[in-house]
Amino acid sequence: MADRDIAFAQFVTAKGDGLQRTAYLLCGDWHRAEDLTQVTFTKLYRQWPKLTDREALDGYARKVLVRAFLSERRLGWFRREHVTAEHEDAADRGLGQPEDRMVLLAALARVPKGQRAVLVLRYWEDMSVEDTARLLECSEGTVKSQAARGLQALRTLLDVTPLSPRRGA
Amino acid sequence: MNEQDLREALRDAMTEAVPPRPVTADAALTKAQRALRTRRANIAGLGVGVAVVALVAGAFTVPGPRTLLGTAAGPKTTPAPTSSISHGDRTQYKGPENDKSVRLLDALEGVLPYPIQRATAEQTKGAQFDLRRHQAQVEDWNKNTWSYQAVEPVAPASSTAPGVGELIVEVHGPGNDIPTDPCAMARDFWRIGGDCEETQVVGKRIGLVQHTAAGRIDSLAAYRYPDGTVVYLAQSASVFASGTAALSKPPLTDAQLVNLVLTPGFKVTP
Repeated sequence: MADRDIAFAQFVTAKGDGLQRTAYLLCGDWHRAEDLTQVTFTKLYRQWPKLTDREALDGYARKVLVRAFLSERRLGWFRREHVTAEHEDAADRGLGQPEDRMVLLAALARVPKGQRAVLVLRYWEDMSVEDTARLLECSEGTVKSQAARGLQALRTLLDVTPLSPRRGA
Repeated sequence: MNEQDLREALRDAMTEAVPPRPVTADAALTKAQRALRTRRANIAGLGVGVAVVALVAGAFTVPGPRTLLGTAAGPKTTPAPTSSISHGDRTQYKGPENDKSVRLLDALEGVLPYPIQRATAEQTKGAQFDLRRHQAQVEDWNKNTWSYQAVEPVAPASSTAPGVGELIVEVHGPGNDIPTDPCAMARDFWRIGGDCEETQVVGKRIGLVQHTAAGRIDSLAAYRYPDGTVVYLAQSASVFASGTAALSKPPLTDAQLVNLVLTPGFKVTP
């Protein structure tokens, strides 16, 4: 195996699971997440000889993944559906049980794409506003407004009062 | 919900989430290498095409010595790119494989047992997307294996009230990696699990799954043809996340399910 392939395989082994999970949060479907992750790795592999700054590789991979997600042309029909229990159950629950987590993920999957990408980058990847803006190639103000709208959309979808007090209840 | 709530909720939600097919270095590398080769081949093919077009165009616009003498101007055809399939999208939206999924949907509608029929507009009132669908998608680029799905929204003919269930046929062509044991094969459908029993219809072994772990499917039957083609017939009394009312019970009986999975029209010809 060539050095390039060895290094690439090591990167996939180290980062594949994390990228696939991020992809899942972005698209809400494990099969599409698998596709998005593979598209990301394929693009990375094509550019691999030019990616000399290994420190920046994580960020670049995330950028490719998010851009692949945002540029998806259309969804296959059974990929439109989301892994979840009935949404109506969400109203009176916290997020302590497995089915409640599914409701959260289903609600997240219904947030508009751009807002969802900001939510995932900010609160799953723990990226700063500045880094998120750089990755999405938009202003920091846009990131802040998209995050606020995304959170509001989530609240509406979940139709809940703040979660923290009820998680402990 | 504030920012910190969401951060913690996402951590909680993903802690126990397990990808059904984790990324492996071998698979990712193999697919990336193949995509790179295809891309290079396409670029090479495109380059040849452009060069040929330029030659032909040049022959017509600039009268060279050969054209002045009345000889042939050169090749008049442009080679097509070597591949028309994008590795970025596994679904074929038009073409022969897509046509097979159309026929699969027709076959499904053709075997609906009375009183079950294709749901009417009244019965599907409130639907947020097209409930009648078909799709063909490649499963493995290497082996050129395909799967096909067809979904028919159904309801009893006598019912005038809103309410719809669905029947789903999913077919995986030869060369798939679905387990061969009837129950393992049946439980492999969308990996939803459930209680399974093996049954026989005219000597053919069929896996019948009920009480699935996922609410989207009530029960399903699975059959593998000798050439490896696997056919699933699944049913649900409701259509997941569609906004439509549900039926009071699944559309088919177990006996109908295990008999209809053997419908010859469901066996998609490779």
